[in-house]
Amino acid sequence: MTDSIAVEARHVVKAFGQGDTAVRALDDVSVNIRTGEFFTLLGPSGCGKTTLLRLIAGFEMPSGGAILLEGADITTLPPNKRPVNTVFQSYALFPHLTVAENVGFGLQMLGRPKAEVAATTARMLALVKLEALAGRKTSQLSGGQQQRVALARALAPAPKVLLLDEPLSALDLKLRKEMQIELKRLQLETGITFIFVTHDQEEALTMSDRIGVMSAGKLQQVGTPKDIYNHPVNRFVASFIGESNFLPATREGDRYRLDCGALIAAPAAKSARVTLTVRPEQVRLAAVGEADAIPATITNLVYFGTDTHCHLALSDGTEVVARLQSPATGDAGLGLGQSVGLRFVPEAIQVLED
Amino acid sequence: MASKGFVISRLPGFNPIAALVFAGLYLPIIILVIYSFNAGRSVSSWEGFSLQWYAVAWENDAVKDATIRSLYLAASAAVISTFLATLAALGTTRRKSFGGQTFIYVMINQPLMVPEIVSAVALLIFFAMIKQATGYAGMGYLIAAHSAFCIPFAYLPIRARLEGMDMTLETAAADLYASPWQAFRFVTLPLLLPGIIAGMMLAFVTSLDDVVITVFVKSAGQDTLPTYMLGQIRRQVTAEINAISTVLLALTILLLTLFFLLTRKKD
Repeated sequence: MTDSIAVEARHVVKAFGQGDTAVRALDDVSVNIRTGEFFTLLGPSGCGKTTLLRLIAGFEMPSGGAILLEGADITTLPPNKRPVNTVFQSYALFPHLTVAENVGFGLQMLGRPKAEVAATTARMLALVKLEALAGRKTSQLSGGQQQRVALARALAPAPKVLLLDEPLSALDLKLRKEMQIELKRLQLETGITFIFVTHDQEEALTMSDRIGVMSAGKLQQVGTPKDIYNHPVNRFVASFIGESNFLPATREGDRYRLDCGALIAAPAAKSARVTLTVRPEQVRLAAVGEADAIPATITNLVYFGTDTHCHLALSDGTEVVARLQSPATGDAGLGLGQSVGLRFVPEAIQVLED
Repeated sequence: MASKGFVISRLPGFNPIAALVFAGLYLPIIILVIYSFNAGRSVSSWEGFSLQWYAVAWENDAVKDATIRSLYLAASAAVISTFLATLAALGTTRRKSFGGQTFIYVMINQPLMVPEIVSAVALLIFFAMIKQATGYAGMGYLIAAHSAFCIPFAYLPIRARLEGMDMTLETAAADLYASPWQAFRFVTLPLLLPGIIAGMMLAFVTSLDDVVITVFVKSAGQDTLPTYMLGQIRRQVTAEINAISTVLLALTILLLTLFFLLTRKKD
C-alpha cells in the first residue's frame, strides 16, 4: 500500500437548518484516506458518517472546510464531475434498463465508444459473476444479485474512490457474510480505494484496513481494527466496538485504586480520576482469596455456545462481565451467587481520562 | 367461521342496490348503442338491425368536418397541456418544498374547481377583447382554452408518477457522470413516460368531450363533434346521433383502457 492520500477532508462542517435550530451533522471533521485502502466509517445512525460520504460524492456541499481528491480541491464540483462512484444503500438500479445497461451507464455518460462500454460491461459482469443475467431487467433479480449489479455499475467507470453506503444492510445474515468476503476480494482485485459506511462493528473489524469511528458529527478515533479494539481512546469507542467493562478508579502513585478498594497497575494517566476499561475476554476467574484476585459475586451466567458470559458484581456494586471459553464438558462449575476472585490481564487494561 | 369484521358487501340489500346503480349508469348507454343500429329513424322504437345511420353519419360532410376539427383540437390541446403539465409537475416535485407550494398546486388544478360555465364566460369576454384588437378569429382561441382546462388532467397522473419515483435514481445518474440534462433524458424521462402518455390521453379525452367552454369560445363555423350534436338534437333527433355517440364512446373506451393499462401498478 502506498502512502499517498486519495481523499482528504479538511475541517469539514455540515450544518442542516438555520439559526438556533441548525443541526451540525459534521462538526470539524478532518481525515486522510490513503490510496488503495479499505477505509470504514463506523458509527451509530445519525453520527454523520453518511453525510461525510455524500459530501465526498458531491450530493451535498459542506457548510465549511474542504474536500480534496488526490490533492485537488473538489469541494464545489457537482457529482457528475467527480471521478468517484457510489454504491447506494437502496442500490438505486435503473428499473427501465437491463443489468448490462445499468453497468454500462457510467461509461456511456462519459461518452466512451460503444465497443469499450460493451467490453468493460462484460468484464465487470464477470467480476461479480453475473454474466448470465446481462439481459435481465433489474427487477427480476434477487437482493444479492441487485447488490452485485450495483457494485459492478459503480466499478465500471474505474473510479478513483468507491463509496459504499451501508450496502449490505438489506441482505440477510448469510448473504451479508458472503458479500463481505466478495467486497474484500473486489477491493484487492481492483486496487480501488473503498470508503465503506456501516453501523455494524463486526463488519468494520473484519473488512477494513482502517476504521474511522464517528459519533455526534465528530471523528472519535481513526486506526486499524486492532488499534481501535485494543486501544480505544474514549468510552464511546470502547463501548461501541465490542463490549467493555468500565471501572471507575482513582490514581494512587503509579497504580489505580478501584472503588471496591482493589489496587491495580495500569499505564500512567494525567487525571486523578479515570475509568479503567477491560474487554470481557481479558477477565480471568480465580479462587477466592488468591493473591491479587478481586473478590466478586456471580450475578448471572449467559451461555453462548463457544463461550459463557459471566456477570459479576464487585463489592461496591460495579458490574464486570467475564467471557469464559466453554470447557469441553460444557459445565464450568459456576453457579449464581457464588463468590469468586477475578483478575484482569494486566496488558489489556486501558486507561480512559474522561 | 369467526366474524371478519365489517364488510359492506354483506349488508342486506347490497346486491340489489349495486345492480340498480349499475343499471342507472349503463342502461341508457346500452340503449343508445342499440338504437344506433336501428333500421328506422326513431331513437325509441326498434325497427330492425341496420348500419345505415353509420353510413349516413359517414356521408354527412358536417359530421366529417366537426370530427376532423374535434380530433385536431383534442390532439393540439393534449400535446400543449401535457407539455406544460410535465414542466409543472417537475417544478412542483423535483425541488425542496417552498412557501406557497400548496397555493401553486391549487392554482394548477383551478380548472377542476372553478365552475366550467364561469371559465367559459370569462374566456368568451377575454377572447372577444383580443378578437377586437387583433381581428384574429381562427382555431387559436379554442386550442388555447382547451389546453388550459386540460392541464390538470394531464398534470395529475404525471405528478403521481413523479412522486412515486425514487429520487435516488437521479442522484445515482449524477454519480455516474450524467449531466443534469442527461439524467433527465436517460433516467427521469423514460421512467416518467407512462405518466406522460396517460396524462396526454386523459387530456385528449377531456378535450374531445367538452361542450360548455367550446360553445362559448368557438367562432362561427367552428363546430366540434359535441357542439354539432347539440345543435342537431335541437332540430330533430335521428339515430345518426346514436351512431356518432357510439363511435365517440368506443374511442373513449379505447383510450381509457390504454390509460389504465399504462398507469396500472406493475408488481
